[in-house]
Amino acid sequence: MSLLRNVVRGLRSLLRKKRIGQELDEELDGFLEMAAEEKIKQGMNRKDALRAVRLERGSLEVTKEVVRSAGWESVLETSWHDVRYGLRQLRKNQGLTAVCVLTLAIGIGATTAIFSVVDSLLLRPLPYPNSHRIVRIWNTFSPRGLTELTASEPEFLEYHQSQTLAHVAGFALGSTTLTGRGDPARLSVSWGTSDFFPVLGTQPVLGRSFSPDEQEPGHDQVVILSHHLWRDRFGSNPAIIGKSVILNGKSCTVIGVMPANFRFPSGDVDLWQPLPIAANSSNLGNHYLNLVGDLKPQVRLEQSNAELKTILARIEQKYPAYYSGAVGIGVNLVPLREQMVGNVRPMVLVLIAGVGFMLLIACTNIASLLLAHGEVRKKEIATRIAIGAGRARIVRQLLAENLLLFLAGGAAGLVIALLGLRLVPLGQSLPLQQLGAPSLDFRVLSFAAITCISTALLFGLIPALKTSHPQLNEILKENGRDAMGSRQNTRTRSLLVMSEIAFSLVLLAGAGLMIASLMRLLGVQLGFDPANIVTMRMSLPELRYPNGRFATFYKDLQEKVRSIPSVRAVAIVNQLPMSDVLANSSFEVEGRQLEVGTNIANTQVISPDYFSVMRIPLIRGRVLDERDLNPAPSTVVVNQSLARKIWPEEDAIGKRLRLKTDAPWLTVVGVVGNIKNEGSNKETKPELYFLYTEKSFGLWVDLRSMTLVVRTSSEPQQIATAIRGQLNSLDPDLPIYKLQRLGEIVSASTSQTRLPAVLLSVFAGNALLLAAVGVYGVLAYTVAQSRHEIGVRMALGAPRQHILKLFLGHGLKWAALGGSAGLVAAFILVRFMRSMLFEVGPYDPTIFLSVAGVLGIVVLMACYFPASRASSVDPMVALRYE
Amino acid sequence: MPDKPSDLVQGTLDMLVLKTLALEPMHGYGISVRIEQMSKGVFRLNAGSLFLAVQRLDRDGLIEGEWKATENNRRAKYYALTQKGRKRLDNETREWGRQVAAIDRILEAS
Repeated sequence: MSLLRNVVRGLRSLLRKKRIGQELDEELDGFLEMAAEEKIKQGMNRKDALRAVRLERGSLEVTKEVVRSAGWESVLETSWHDVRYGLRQLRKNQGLTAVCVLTLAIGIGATTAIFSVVDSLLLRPLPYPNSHRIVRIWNTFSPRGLTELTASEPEFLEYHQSQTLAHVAGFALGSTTLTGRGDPARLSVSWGTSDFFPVLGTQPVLGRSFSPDEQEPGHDQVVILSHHLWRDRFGSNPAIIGKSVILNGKSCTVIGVMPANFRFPSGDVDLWQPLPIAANSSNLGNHYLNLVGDLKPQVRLEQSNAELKTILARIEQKYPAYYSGAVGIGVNLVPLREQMVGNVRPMVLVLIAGVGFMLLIACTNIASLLLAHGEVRKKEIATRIAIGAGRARIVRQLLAENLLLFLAGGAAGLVIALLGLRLVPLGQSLPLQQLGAPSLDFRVLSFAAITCISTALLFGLIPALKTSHPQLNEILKENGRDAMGSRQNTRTRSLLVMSEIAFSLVLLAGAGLMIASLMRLLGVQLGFDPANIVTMRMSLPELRYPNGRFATFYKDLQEKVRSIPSVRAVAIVNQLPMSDVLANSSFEVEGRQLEVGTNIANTQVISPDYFSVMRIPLIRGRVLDERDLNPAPSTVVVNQSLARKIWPEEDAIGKRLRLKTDAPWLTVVGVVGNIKNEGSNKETKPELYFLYTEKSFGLWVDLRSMTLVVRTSSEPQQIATAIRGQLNSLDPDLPIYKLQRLGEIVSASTSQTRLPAVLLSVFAGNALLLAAVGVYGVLAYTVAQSRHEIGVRMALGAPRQHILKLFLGHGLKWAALGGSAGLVAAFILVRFMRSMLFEVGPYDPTIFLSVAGVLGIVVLMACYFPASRASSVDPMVALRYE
Repeated sequence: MPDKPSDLVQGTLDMLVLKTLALEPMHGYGISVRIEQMSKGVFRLNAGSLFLAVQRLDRDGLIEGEWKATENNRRAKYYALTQKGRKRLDNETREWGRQVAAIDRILEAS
């Protein structure tokens, strides 16, 4: 009750301030008058009476102030005054305001943007209920160091019996062709077993998920659409449920639409379809199933891991013939988030640390600027203290000013964060397809607000406290000469500058290491020439292309494409270098027994022109030729890596190998140069090249899906249109997809290094600039303060060189002290970057020396200008300058 | 000449103001005179402390002010005890008695 009354009274006195004020005045005046009347009755004259009352009862003005400021509303009111006064101050010092707001905008903006990435990758819960209990299940094979092997159907059926996992689902990824609705489209599809949606605990927003009988072979012609496909292809029409669409030439019923934030296994999946698996499947050889499961409540990961190990042992006993060749097979569970972000976590953490350092430097710089500005205002402040303002009141007012400054910086920072997220291609190097793109949502905005206010309190308080330090006598009588207060502030500012230098060094070291890694990575010899090559993929549907038909199709296609004027050469291949499709196979060599692990190679199926289109050099022998296929496939080309590994002392040409015991022998006719087939930063794997043919020689590769490799002077889109035109006469229903320059694929493979290299360089460059400004500011101020001293020294005969050295010495001292602290911090911190570096050690002395050198030069340059101004002071002018 | 006016025991001013107003509604100066008289000049109130206390009691709903004419035809704000104020005064008086008795016992024990 009384609280309410209190609030009401407070509000009333705020809103009807004038009336309430008048009432108080009247009441107090009455008090004074009545007290005076009493005295007059006792015989005093009026003037003496009023004076006596004031002495006895206290000054009326002070009383009014005391009574007025007792209510809570007066805090609000004075805060409002502070804000208005602060705004006036900021407007008055436009230069200072602009510099501070810009510095803060960059600092807070970059921090907010990076935080939004951290949030969407590491902090925000995945959009599945119980997401922390969802695990991926992988087979492992230690003899070859393989940790993420997919499972076979019999393995899945056994794991499915697990007691520690509530559900286990298998899924496979692939693509399918949608026809009958506009242009044929190649869509990416995920086939999932019956527990697929239950594991993820998500239901369609529209329609239903798969029923048990739809997981039976022959009843699986149903499909669930992704939200983006439903929106883009079907105009978000809810009536689509129950309608049919044509997928790979077969009619399928649409039964549901998933929510927009359902991105499993990846955000670019367009459709989900059932994956029927026969309960008695004994297909041991085809390891195509990705497994995902959810731990039962109260079950720990290790418990489940142990249980699945015993299940795997059971499978090995059940099929001894198959598993005797796979000694060392194991099973491993990986939490879902770890699976998605495990490999980028170090990068993201390094980036947030980097941007945090930059923000610290920005704030330090502003604290230093505000301190300097406080020196200018110390007379104003001293006057206010002298006429009765309390120190708390002054601090509060300075803090309000600084808070305004930081809030303005934060608001401008949000614009920078938005631009940054829009402009920086994060998707290339971060798994945003699975987790959703970062955005400035409520969480991120709160983070920005908290950052803004906490930095304002921390870095705004130092100058506010220092500036409000009352040394009235010193300041008020000061006549331009060094006062004790400013000496002390200079010490604080030197400390701030040294920490800026230290932070900059840490950032520079990180950026230096990343840039060195990127340079090494870009300098890697690829072994092929990606310039002017456009690639695209196509897949022939089984229904219209039975066995025996697709080799002819690809032959005709290449001939037609070759006739396009801008095309210089064309070839086909089953998998491009550095792409995610990976076909490989084991092989046997004539007359030798190879160790397990050495007899595996990537398998490339190519047309004869592939090596010339890609400019892969032939080292020995010859390339493949159509004649090699008649009457049966009999030849193979190997890369240098394989030749050296298998025949280190001998000539590989003329040697024979085969893919299976019952397959024909193939003669090695040529050795080609190594290419970086799995990424610029990976060792070249042994490789076998076979000529494209439908005749069997023991290789299992999907010959219907091939990539067209075109060397051309045209843009990808132009050449795709031209090829589309040629394709229409062959098969108008066949979509072209994955249209890319080969150069893009190559640069995507370096993006994991490029992104942190570029961002850390931007942060470090900014830090360096801020540190330089900070050093310059402090030294220039010191010089201005010491004009008198300089004048005296010069008058007493100090040479100009001496003065120059004196002030450069200040800078050198800062650089040395700050730099050493930075080196220590950098040495401690860079080890967290180890996994991000390529062919560079985290403690590379050249890099550390060069960044320390760069920093030293920048600090000296920043010192040179104020120091040279100091040395050119005219002693006469300086001494007269009072 | 009475002794020099002494400071009030911390927190007792509100109670004294309430007590003063328990007899009849009174304006600010009246309260200060009454307290001075009743304490035989021991407590002389500073205007600041008095009006702070009055504002506090008013906000807490223990007293209520009303503008009226004084006997000298001057406008003044008369404060009267509310129901709540009367209750508070009773409580505080009882509490005060208990405390004084306790303190007395302690002082006399030595």
